[in-house]
Amino acid sequence: MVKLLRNEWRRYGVVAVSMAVGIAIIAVFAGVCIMFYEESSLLNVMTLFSYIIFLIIMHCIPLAAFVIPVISYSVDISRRGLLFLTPVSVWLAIIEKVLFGVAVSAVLCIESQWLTWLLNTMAAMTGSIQSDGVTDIPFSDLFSETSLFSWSVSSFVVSVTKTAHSALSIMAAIALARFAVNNTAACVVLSIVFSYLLGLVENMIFMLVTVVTDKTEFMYGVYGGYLGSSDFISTLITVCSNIIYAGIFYFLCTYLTTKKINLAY
Amino acid sequence: MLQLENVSVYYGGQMALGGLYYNFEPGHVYGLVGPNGCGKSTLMKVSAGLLKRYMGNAYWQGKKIDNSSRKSIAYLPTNLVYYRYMTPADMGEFYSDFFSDFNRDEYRKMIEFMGLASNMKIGSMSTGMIAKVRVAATLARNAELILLDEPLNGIDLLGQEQIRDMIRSIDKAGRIIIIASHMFDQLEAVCDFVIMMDSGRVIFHGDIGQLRAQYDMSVSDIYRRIYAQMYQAQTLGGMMRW
Repeated sequence: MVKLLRNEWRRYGVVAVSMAVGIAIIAVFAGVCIMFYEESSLLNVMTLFSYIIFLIIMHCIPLAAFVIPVISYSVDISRRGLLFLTPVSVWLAIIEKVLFGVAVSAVLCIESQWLTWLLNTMAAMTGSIQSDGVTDIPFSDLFSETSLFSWSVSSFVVSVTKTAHSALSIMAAIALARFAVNNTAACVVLSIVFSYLLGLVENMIFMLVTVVTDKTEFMYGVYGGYLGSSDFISTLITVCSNIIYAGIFYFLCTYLTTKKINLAY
Repeated sequence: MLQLENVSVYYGGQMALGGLYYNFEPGHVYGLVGPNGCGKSTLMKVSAGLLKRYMGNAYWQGKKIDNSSRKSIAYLPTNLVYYRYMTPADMGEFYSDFFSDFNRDEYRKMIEFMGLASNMKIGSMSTGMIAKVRVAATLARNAELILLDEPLNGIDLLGQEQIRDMIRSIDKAGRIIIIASHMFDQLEAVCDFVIMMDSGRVIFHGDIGQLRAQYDMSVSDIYRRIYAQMYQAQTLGGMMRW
């Protein structure tokens, strides 16, 4: 496992570090705008704009870490890959790819949260965002230790499990596409179709469960959970569903790769 | 022993191998020849455990070929690009990480022998240089079954000689070496047996020494005659049908 992770780090370490640096650069940009905030309307808008961009990106980049295992897997099952020519167990190789993506996601998530906290402190000290009433972000609430902690933890856990879930769902879609066709171009199109279909099936199951159990209120809570809702039950359902789906897709993807897909094709 | 029993492979309805039977015995080098699309690479992939969807059975050392068989199978694919960020030194590290039979010193010697820089990125190498790295990495394994699919593709004349020398220097005892190549005249000297294929089937096979003695010509010439006659017959048949 250590050798596999080391190999993955050699392959995608630069990408992971670039993502971390990207977050830091955006945070610095937002920080500079906040620091040089004045009463002029242009800077005010810029500050708010940079802050919003940062908040969006800091949620998206940790989730985007799922791309790393997906690319790694699709390269390895093609003729460009080497890993599946080795006697390494496919079960182990796939779990290692997902673990690497999850680790990257976790690091980026922690970095994002730490930088957000830093920017929030700066913004509160400068009073740049609140003073004009441009936004309703309750900084006082955010600084209360309990809410900040629970928000951080839920956002972290959701982000990390969502990375595993997304990566495995797309990897399963790629495996299904490779099982169905051997043509590379058709495989790409079919992978997109299968990912969409798998997502659709997941949503249908979720809606069915919420309707049958008469818990439709969770429908909104769970989708909110992706953005780090502090609602414990919603977060728990999101995390559990991520883990269950990740397990199902892991089994599907590994089974197809081991038994059904022609490798190095 | 490598046993292929009634192995058939179809790619989208197109037959690549059609009910192939063959037993490869240890201690010999087999040369696999035939025109493009005759099924050489497919046979190699089945033997390496890379093709999962085929009919029939492929056994290596009495066991059905699977992922774990790759512990003792060294396979050189035709067109593997390798990870472009790697250098030959990284390749050596990768192989020694994942293959317990990989001899790193041997690999280093082969890389030096072929005049390659061990710190040059694969991405900036020429096709021929990459081919040499691939051959060195495959041959540096102490595997019991060595499958070389077009090992001379894209390699200059001197490089081809170096590879022939490397194949010749392998201790064959207890090992099976199968080489598929279009450049069979370059490899005839290192092979013990020849297997000629066409349309997914073995059409001719035999001991190279015996064939040379029997027909008083090189096996490459026998190959040319067989295929020339076959295509002549096919063309005539086609014309008669027309």
